[in-house]
Amino acid sequence: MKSVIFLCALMLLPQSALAMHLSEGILPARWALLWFAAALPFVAWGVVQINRKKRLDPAYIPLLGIFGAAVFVFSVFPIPVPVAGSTAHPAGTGMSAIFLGPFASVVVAFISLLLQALFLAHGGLTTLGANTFSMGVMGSFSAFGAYLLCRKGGLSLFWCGFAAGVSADLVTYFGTSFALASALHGTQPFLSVLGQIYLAFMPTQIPLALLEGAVTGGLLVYVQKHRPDIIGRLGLFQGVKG
Amino acid sequence: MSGAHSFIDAQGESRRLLVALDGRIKLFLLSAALMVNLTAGGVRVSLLLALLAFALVLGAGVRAAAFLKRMAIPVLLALVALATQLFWFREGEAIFTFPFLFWEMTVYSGGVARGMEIASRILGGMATLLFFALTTPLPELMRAARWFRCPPVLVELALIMYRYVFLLLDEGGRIRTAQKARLGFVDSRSALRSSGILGGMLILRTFDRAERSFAAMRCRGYQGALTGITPGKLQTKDWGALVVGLGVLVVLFLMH
Repeated sequence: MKSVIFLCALMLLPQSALAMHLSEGILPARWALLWFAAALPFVAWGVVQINRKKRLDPAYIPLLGIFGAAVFVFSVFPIPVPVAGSTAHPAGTGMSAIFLGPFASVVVAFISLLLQALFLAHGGLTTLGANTFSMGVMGSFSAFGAYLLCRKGGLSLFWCGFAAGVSADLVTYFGTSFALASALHGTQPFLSVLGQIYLAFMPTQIPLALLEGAVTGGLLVYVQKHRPDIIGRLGLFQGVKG
Repeated sequence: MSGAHSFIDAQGESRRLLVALDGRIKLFLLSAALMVNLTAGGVRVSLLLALLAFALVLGAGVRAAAFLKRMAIPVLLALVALATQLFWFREGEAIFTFPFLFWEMTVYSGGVARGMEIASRILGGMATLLFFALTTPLPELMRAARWFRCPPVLVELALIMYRYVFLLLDEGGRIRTAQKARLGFVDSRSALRSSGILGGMLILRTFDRAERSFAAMRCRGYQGALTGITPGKLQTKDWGALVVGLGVLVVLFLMH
């Protein structure tokens, strides 16, 4: 109980202190290696898929690169979070998973995290595996799954994007909490610490997840309304109500 | 954008010795230093690594303020990590007890030691990473990555993303400023709508830019792979830096 209250106190710290990327050095060597091993097959298969698409369409790489840069840029623009009285940053993986597919989205997330570690001092290199797994793998696949599920359920485009944005955000933070709890739980039970960390993220993450969902949904509707040719070119949204 | 998002671009820094060292050597030494930081244990080695990185950054001609500003968030994270261990690691001798809300909180020696170790690991790791980031331009890092057999498609994507991140940041900043000037962020509802439009406009402009870039790349001979200068033979100063760097890391590791 004391720990829960302590974590509630931590939530009052600036948002950047509880940012979603695990900092360099926070994971012990064995956990760092384990997370790299977990993320590697997804990145490798993403690279195989990208190479395959590149052979079919040479314009795919510039498109993917510039799209990845756009997701990166979108994810560094702050969105105001009314409850926390601060701003937070969208994960962006919901958007990239819908537009690029989950495996290409993992690769884009991997490179984004590398660039963020080197150019924003967010995250780290030994934590790149853990960050790629939580944000790239868990974020992208949950977003894509939620999007497909809503699409099959016949929901409107906005709600499909909304579900993708919300699940990308919440599942990414679950992954981050899992990695943090595995490294920091000390003599406390792992599940208890996992619950405490995830709970500590919630006051800012639930509003942020809803905001990210709304922004992702709004973005999809905007693109469909103004440039339906992009939707056709990327082969998206088939059978979705507008 | 918030102040935390100040980009590091080593391209513009002066080409002093440390900046001009071969990217392969720096990448190898960076990996070795990060492994020493993770595996040495204790506090001393990581803190020495942090001090060494700071000294090297100054030696490379980078302003101390540029380094210290970027270390602010890692310092805060290190303090948070230290505090969590005081609560979550209860082994060893009880050091002191203090009232915490409605409870008595006891701090154990094991928690302090473990918290200090994790905090110093964060400081050592981030300082080492910052030294590398502040003295190595990305194209050089990518050339080194290619030499270490990194898949070409990853290198190509990273270079394209790196090129367009700065361009799109400017574009996104301009759209955001225009939205603000038109009261686009006056309340939560309009801020949400403006953020969606900002994302949508970035996608549209990005797509058009990608098509134009591809046409321009084809005109310049692009046939499915970016070409660049391959790293040449290592020079004497690079070998010297490797030997000295590895020697220092071995000494640091033996000090744990």
